[in-house]
Amino acid sequence: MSWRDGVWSRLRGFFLRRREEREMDEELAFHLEMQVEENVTAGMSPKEARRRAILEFGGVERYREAVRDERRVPVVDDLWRDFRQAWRTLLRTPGYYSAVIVLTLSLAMGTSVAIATIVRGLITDPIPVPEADRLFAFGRTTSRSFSSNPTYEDFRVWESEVERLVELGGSTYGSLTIGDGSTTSYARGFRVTEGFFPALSLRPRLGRVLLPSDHEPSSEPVVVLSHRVWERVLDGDPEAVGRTVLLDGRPHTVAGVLETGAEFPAPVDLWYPLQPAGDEAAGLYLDVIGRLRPGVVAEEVGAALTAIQQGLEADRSTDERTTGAYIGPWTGRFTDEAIQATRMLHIAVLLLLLIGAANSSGLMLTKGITRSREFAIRASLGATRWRLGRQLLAESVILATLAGLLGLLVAYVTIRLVRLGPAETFAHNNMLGWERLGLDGRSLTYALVLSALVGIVFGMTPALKATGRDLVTGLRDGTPASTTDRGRSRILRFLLCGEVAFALVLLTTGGLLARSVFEIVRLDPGHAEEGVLTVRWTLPADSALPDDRTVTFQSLLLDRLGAMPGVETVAVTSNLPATRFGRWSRQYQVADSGSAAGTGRASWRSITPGYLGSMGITLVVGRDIDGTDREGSPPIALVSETLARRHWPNLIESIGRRITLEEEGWTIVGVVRDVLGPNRDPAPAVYIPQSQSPISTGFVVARIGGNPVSLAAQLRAEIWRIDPAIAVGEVETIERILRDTWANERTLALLVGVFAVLALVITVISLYALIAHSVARRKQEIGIRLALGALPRQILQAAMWDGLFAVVVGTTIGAVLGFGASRLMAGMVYGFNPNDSLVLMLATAGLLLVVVLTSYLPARNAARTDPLISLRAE
Amino acid sequence: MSTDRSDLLQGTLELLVLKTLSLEPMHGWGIAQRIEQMSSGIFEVSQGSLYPALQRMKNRGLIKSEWRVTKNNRRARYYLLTPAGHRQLQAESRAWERSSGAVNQVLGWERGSA
Repeated sequence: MSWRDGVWSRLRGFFLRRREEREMDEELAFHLEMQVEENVTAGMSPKEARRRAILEFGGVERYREAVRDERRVPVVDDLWRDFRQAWRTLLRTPGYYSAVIVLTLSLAMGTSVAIATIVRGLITDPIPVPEADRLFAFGRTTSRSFSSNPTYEDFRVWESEVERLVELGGSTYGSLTIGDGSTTSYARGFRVTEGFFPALSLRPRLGRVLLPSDHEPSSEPVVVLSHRVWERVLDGDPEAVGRTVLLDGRPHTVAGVLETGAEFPAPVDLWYPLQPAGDEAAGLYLDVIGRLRPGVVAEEVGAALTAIQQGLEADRSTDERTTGAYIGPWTGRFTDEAIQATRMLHIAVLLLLLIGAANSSGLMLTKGITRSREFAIRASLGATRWRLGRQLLAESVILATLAGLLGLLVAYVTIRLVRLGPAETFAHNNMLGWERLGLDGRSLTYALVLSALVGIVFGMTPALKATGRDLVTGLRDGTPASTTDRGRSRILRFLLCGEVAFALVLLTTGGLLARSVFEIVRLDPGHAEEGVLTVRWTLPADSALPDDRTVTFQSLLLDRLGAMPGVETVAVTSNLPATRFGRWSRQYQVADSGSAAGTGRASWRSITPGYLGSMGITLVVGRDIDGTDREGSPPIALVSETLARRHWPNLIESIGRRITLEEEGWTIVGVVRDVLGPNRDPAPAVYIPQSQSPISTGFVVARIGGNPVSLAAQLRAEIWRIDPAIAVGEVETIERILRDTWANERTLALLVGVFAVLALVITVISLYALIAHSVARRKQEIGIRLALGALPRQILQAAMWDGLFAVVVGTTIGAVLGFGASRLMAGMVYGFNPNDSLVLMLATAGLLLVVVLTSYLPARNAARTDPLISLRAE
Repeated sequence: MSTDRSDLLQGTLELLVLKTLSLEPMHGWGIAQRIEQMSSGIFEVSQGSLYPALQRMKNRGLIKSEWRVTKNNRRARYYLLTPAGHRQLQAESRAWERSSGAVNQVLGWERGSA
């Protein structure tokens, strides 16, 4: 108990220091007074009495110290003193170093905090599932693939066998249409098993989730809607539960509406019971999630599932054997690659932070040089090495904390920028949580912890270095004109080389990436890049239209849309270029081929007359499809330039030849320019008149003169006027479609670009600081040399030497590393040319220029100084 | 409870302070006076060691302090014995008795043999 009292008393002493001091003084005064009184009583004069009393008492200050010593809390007290002293030192030294350190660190820490917040906001947090860490994705690993889904039938066996370990839920993804009776649009549906909702434990916003009874064949068909679809289709009707919606034309009752943010994995609009019909079950593969029951570990389930699946396969003749169970943390909407990419990004940020810390460390070291005399004096007066080192650490922690606070501001701005910039892409890809992105308490905690860590890390080297020296050298070293401390300037040079190298790597990879994006943007897609609206449509299975409905529909569609004000030309196509829908590739065969091989694969498109004009695709030779090509007339086709050249080097020769697609022959009447596919390659393509190859789903392509936004709604409304049961998708501009296909490359280039600039800024700041400092330190030496007749040019050279050395070594290392890094990226990014000499030269030359300028400016100042002034300088 | 016995003087001073305070609460000056009185002027308490000792004992919870008004209407910091202080006084008194007895014996034995 008493040690606790003691601690308490000491802590009290620490916090109530002022009061304690006052009380101590009062007690002392009382004591002296009593003594004086006694002395007076003994017959002394008051003056003499006081003198004697003080004399008798001994040193008042010594007494105070002794009492204070008894009262102190050593660790807390010392730390407190260290921080106060560090703070005073920082205030005393010119703001220069502190500002540079705080600035560089805040840039690095700010980015790190921003990335951490974004990752948390977009990947970790948006899953509004209770105890998400008990939720896992399950699958099987086979001899062929790492993760493979079970069939519906196998899943049912899994479900019943491991019921006591885990609650399993299966789902399968299916696109369908949703209608409210007046209009029909597309929706992404999720067909789920009974266990799906219990495993997720989601709470609905309205109504209920799916119940086991909903899955019985006899039960009334029900559907659970996402918040988005509820707002879009039912206008956010609070009475939506019980209303009827048409899914693929079949009525379903709305059972409930989920909270916003529950649309995972990836964009899902609605959920309804999975009831496989007939032989569908055998070919149905399910995504499996499962919530572990209390006390169960994932490995247990894995072992059980492996055994079950291997048992199932024992009497099957399949060549894909299960080797084990796949169990992954359930990552919601994100694929492993996305998470991998974010991790890489995080590593890059931490590297940047490391460079920032190393840089600050270097600056502290430089400062340490000027302070070595102070330390030597203090050490000779009895300060321990630990004490001196601790003070340096305190200084670095203070600086890092300031940087952390400033970094929060940087992070705030970064997040704002992210929300402004790729926001459109996020929204388009239904990325959740981006609109809520922002700094919160956890970002603050992260920033503070990071600050403390960074402060300790970057303060450690200077603390060890500055204190681990013998006093005599330190005292001598303090004389201003001495040459630099060799060991320390070696470290500084090493750091600088590292920074220059890192900056060069980032600059070259960033430059190459930017170049590749630039190339993609500059690539001629082969069709119009703006002024074209597209919208997807699907005819219902039981349309009100007459028998030859596609033809009727199309003539109606083309007539009505073509008559809309603002629409110049309009056409229909089965699929669009530059989208994944464009990959309808088919085997073809050509007769009378000029070259040896007469077969190949080509993407296939069914179009109406006017498609080429609407999309802005040029006809190279021959004629376009026109109104004379109808059902019953000779089948004709247009082919792309690449296809034609492959078989007939002289394009004109291809006209009149026959091309066979799936046993049907078509006569080539024209050759059109190549259109780039989603992989930006001019894939061979065959265009066929829609009248000769009817389709029931496709895209409207309209070339417009007016405002695309106002036209979009009219376009959809016009289609629905033909038949409300026609599913109509969102209206998109062709620019948007093109942009979306480059989104990854653009984002990557943007990020690397930002890092490159940050690294460059940090490098420039630290280089400038180093050179300016070394020049300032040698001012007297320079003065002497100038006075002795050295030429300003020689001074300049000498002063720039440190910087140039770092540049030469740094760029060499950077070039080697950059070479490796760009090789690595070449495989991942389209159009990435690691040997792009223009970019490589520009990046290197740019860095060299900046770095040389940075070291030139302070060096020139040195060379220009008046020897008289610099000689007097201390 | 362990006590620092390495410093005999310090230990002795503490013992004397505890004894003094066991009679009545007292301020620092009074403690010094009382010890001098009780030891018939043999022990002269140096103020420089008295106050640190008081602070130390306070930290250890043997005594506590409070501000009171003296007979002459002056504010002074009075020190009071805590229950732990009482126990410590008993323990230390016994220890002192034993060790001083032992020292006396030794000295007596030496005198006898001389």
